[in-house]
Amino acid sequence: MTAGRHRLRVPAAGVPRGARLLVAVWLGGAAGTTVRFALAQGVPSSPGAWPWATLAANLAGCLVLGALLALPAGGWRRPLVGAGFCGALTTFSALPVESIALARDGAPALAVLYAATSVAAGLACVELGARVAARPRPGSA
Amino acid sequence: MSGPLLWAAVAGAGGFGAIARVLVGGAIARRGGAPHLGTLGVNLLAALLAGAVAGAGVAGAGRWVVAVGLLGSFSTLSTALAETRALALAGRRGAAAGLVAATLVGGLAAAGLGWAVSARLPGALP
Repeated sequence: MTAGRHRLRVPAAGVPRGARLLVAVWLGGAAGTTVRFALAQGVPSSPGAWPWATLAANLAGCLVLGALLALPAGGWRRPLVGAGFCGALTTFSALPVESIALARDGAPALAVLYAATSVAAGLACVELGARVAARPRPGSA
Repeated sequence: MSGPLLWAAVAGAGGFGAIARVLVGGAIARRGGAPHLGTLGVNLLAALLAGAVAGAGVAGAGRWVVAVGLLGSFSTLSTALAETRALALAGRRGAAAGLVAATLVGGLAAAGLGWAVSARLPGALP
């Protein structure tokens, strides 16, 4: 088992606390939300159509978080990039709302497929990110 | 509201949504004794509220700031799935499957409930 996999909630040296923690989360969260908003603006969803923007944001965030959690914890990395950026780049609330909207627009099969794809592909992206980040780099011991 | 002001409002709301997720999720996790319960609670609450926003017919800047900015950032898929993977890696496959099922089924139920209730409130847009 790779070291670091289970360190999600374990405090590490140099991790910001209190107000500094909240500042890190706010900054990362604002950045992640901006990217997701840009995707939503750039790839507008039409009624009954596959929500590409939300799926793209969710898969990208899963990939980055998977990699981040495979790297050593410490410093501002996890609050800023993990809880902040990845947490906000990905979204869950849009998923059931978009699924319900798809079903209401006469595409119930697409609604089920969209929800299932988001979770299955998201899990695959977390795994892929973790494997890429845990891979030994050329030149390192 | 449009242009740079809208972008700033969405980003700022997203920052506060992330802070609320850490605080509310952390509080639920401490009471429940497991990090994934905090994420699950936050996600179901966000789904309920996002369903209510959709059911009320909120559109334009209000939808961008509240649904996409605040609630979009308050909820998270990446943490939920990373916690699912951690449960599976720890040999708790049943808990991992249960977390996915509770998130998806609970999220659909919460969003549907929020949608149905707010669509019936006076003042909801058609």
